[in-house]
Amino acid sequence: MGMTLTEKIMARASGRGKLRAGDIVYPEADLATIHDLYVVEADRQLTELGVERPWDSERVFVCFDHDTVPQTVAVANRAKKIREIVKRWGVKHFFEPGRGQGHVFPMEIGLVKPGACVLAYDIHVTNYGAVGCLGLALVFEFPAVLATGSHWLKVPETVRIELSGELPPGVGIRDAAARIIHEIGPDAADYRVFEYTGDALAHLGVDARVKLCNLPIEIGAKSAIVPADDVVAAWMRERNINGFETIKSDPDAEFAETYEFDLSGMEPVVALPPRPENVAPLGEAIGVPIHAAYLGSCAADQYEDMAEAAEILRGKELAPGVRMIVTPGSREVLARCVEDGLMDVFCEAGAMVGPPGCGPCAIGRGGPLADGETCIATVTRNDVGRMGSREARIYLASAATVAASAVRGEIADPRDFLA
Amino acid sequence: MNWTMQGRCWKFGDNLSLDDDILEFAKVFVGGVRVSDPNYLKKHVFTNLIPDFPERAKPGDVVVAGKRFGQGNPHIYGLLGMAGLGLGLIAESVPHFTYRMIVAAGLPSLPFFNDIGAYVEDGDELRVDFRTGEVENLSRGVRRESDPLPDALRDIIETGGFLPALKKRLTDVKTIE
Repeated sequence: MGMTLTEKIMARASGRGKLRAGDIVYPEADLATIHDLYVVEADRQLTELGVERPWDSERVFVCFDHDTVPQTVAVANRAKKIREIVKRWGVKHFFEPGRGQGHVFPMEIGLVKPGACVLAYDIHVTNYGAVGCLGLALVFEFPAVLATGSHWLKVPETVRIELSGELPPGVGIRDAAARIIHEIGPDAADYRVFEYTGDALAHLGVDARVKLCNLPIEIGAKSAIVPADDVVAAWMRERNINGFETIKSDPDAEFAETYEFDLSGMEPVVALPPRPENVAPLGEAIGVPIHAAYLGSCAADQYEDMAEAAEILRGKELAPGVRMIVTPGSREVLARCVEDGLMDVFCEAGAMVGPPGCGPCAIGRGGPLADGETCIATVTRNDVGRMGSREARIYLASAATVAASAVRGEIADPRDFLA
Repeated sequence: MNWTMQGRCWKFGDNLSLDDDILEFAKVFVGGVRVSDPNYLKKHVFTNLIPDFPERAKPGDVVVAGKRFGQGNPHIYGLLGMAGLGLGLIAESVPHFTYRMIVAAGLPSLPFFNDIGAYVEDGDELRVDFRTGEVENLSRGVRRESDPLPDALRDIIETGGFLPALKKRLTDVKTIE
């Protein structure tokens, strides 16, 4: 019996030759990632354990992406403290605000590579699956990783998802990813890794793969991964990133289940408030009046998302009474948007472009919703209070649907805007 | 550590949420700061479902829940409160974050006892061996078995949960060096 890609990565990181799903192991992190909201607490926890600094400061990653622009003096003071801690720890990979969203830009600069095992505080580390890297979150148990470099993990089973066909015009990969988590559902997803395969991947770049890897965590998957292939290798070469292997699951590896999806049959969808798995055909929400539109978060802040929205917004303006915030995922994405004229499109439409980072997906930071407001957004989750007021409602949709709705002032179908 | 428990069965249904059913998340905050002391948290366990649960539950009692026990945002506090009350847990299933948190909270559990609901009723007297996975319903004379937690995880529970186990691990490493 062969091994799945996940079993191979965890075996290598655990110093074991062979692993099977269900084994309990202690994989050592190739990279341990935390964000600004957790640094002070992490330092306090380590101090309680009698640990002065992380096990290997060369493998610790800290970035400011939640509170990029402090809104209060208290937050500014915390940011100052974070910089002191990071210095004391000797963190090698520390990034100031403006560099980007921590689940996006590390791929662009080769900090995260195919075959790597990344342990993270934050659950959306699964994004790195887009380049064939296994991202595993440990949340409240993260002090163990900072102190020792690893923590116990049960090797998850893998669900194989075979993708065929090409998306029709006006349908985003986000629509497909939402449809996939809806069809598979929380019971079949729980503690499993989604591994994508199939002919369709030849047409899906790293930006598209991020969407496929971002959404499954919302229904309880442990991670998601696309085995690195020629598409990823080319993407890496464009960025002068070298020194990685493109490993895959063995042909005789054991998969818990296999699903097949034909992308050519996909349609725009929304996730109705207040759960990301409440996926419904877009038609069920068409005409719902909106107050705010948001394009960004680690689920949709890469160049392709920006381009998808700009295609709809080009030459148009936001509907009266609607505000729109856009946060590119990284300095690289922002620069490319400027270069290709996407910023002109956003500006002329009347959208506000915020600093690269998590944007209002982080509990409304930089643009919270008010009581009774409705927002359509590309964010990761639509729980009560996720973007500010507990009395606001959030519909999740693709970048194109968010843009179309912002222009119309109510939830709208992007296909109506395509010539 | 007592791996064998005998006590009352508290039977609940499916999909109990961490932040509302098991322990209301707002109760975790005292003066704006999260409290993780089991002796404080135990006063608020299950009170949205059974207001006097913390007074009525006794050490050795066993919570028997349905599917997806502990679904929702991965907050550990309710499970710490259950451990504080000296309870055991049997569930038909739990989401994976909850599986981790059971171990981190040091809570003796059989978290994937697929059909346990068919063999016990609320108020039954149960005897459970969390090492072997054996459950005896003394009120009905029924005996059932499920897979126990793996040894590696029971070692963590034995040590007292996440932080004590991590402290021990750090000490062991230093001793080896």
